[in-house]
Amino acid sequence: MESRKVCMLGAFATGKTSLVARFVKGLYSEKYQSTIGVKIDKKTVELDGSPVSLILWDLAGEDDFVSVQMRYLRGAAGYLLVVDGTRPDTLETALLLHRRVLDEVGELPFVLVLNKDDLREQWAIEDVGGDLLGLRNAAAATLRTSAKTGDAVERAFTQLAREVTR
Amino acid sequence: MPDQPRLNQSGESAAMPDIEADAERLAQVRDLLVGPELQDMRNRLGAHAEDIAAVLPRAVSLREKQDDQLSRALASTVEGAIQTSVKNNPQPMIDAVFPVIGPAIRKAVSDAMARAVQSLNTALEHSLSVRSIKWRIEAARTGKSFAEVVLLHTLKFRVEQVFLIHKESGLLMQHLTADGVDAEDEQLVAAMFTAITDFVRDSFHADPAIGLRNLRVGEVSVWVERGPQAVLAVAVRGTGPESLRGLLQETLEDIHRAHADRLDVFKGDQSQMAVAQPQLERCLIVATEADEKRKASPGLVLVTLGVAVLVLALIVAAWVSNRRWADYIERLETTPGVMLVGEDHDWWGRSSVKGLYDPDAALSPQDILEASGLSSDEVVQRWVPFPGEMPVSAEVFLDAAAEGE
Repeated sequence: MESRKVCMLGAFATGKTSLVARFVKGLYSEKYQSTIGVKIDKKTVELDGSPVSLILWDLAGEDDFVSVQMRYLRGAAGYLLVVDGTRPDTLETALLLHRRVLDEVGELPFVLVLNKDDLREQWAIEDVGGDLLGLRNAAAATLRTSAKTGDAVERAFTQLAREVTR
Repeated sequence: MPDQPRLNQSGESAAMPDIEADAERLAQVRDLLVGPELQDMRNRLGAHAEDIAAVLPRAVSLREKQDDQLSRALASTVEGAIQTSVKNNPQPMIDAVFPVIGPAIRKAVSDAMARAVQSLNTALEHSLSVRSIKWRIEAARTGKSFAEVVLLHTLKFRVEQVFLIHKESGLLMQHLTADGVDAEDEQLVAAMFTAITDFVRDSFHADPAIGLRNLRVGEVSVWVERGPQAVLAVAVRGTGPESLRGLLQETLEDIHRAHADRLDVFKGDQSQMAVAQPQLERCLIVATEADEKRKASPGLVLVTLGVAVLVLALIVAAWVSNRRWADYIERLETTPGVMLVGEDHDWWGRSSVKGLYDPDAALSPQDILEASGLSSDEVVQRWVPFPGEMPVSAEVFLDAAAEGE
């Protein structure tokens, strides 16, 4: 079976862990993120009838106090860049993270995810159809997801799997 | 007289223009005489680079057979090239030398260890402890060397899981478990293990080429060996011997040597690395204490066997003794002129007989005893002759015997 290492990147509390929590096979608790900075989960998706295992390295979120451990991106085939649709600053953090990946690891395929789509009334990112600080063009795909309702989550992972197995 | 250059203070500078002019003229003459041929040769060399490439290996080989001039000529160039390569990027050289240097070092170490074991062996040979005697008997019984038996008794561990992990990505390449071992999702374990080793290495600024080599939690330890492209990690329950480390190194080197092409292109397809399974299976060693206990110890077998032989020997001896005594008693009873009054057969001490006998009879009680295969040391005989004058003491004796019956 094919397997690929992919990373979950994004600002603090954008819902990265919630995205994986309901849709993946987990073995380790979240305490690992606060201790060693990463938690590993697995998501198996079907691509044209063949299973592909995405080994998800769920990296601790970036905020004012915690910096994403870029060492964990070594050997990654791609990443899911998660933005909280209700907090525009998380889009800026996503751009910073994307640039750091380019600097330290090189160009990798990624899927941009605008999460918390269920909170439409609190949605704060204007111009969702726009270029999103240039990230839309750089991303292999851009999706609006909701970890709460499950909307488009499966599609985001499948899209990422397709990109990293090309 | 031909012109001689005058050597004075200004003569040198005066001669220079002449020499330069001569050289120029000589070059012109050379161009006129062989210029076209030289140009032609240059053109041909350029045009025939492919032809030269075709014959170069053979030419090198032929020259090598003649003498060592080519090697000597190339030596400094090759040395320079290696130095430059290592200075620019040592990794390719490390990767190339990795499968070779390991076995060489191990051989040197194993030679030294063999000598050490030999001396240990000698020391043990002179020891007379119960354990060493027991092991010596086992060595004789199994046909193994004594040192090997000693070593076997120190191995009490089990390799429960073997992971072959892609060094760069932490993706699992192959995984094996020992029979009866429940393993968690091996892909997750391999990835988390990689994350933890990265974390430890970075946190303590350890050498990236070495990394974490051992983790221990209670009864279980994880032994790790790193190669240029793959990491071999085994979960060991109990205390593994140092020889396991050698086996892991050897296995990893074998895999790098035999499957370098697959390791180079590994992206995440585990099935591509299934070819490494035979090498990995060698690491699944089991040497549990329970196994050793189940096996009957040779000492115990020998003691049991000894006791059994002893009991059998006693039974046979008793049977023979009984038969011989019965035969003796029968002879006494059936011999004319002998009257047996009492007998007592004692297995452990001396048996006894008493009675009357006729001194004129053909066979005396002593003859009968000897004919029965018994010695007079084994039997206390109390015989009173008759007829004739029976002493008072004999009468009393016979009365007492009659009463005893």
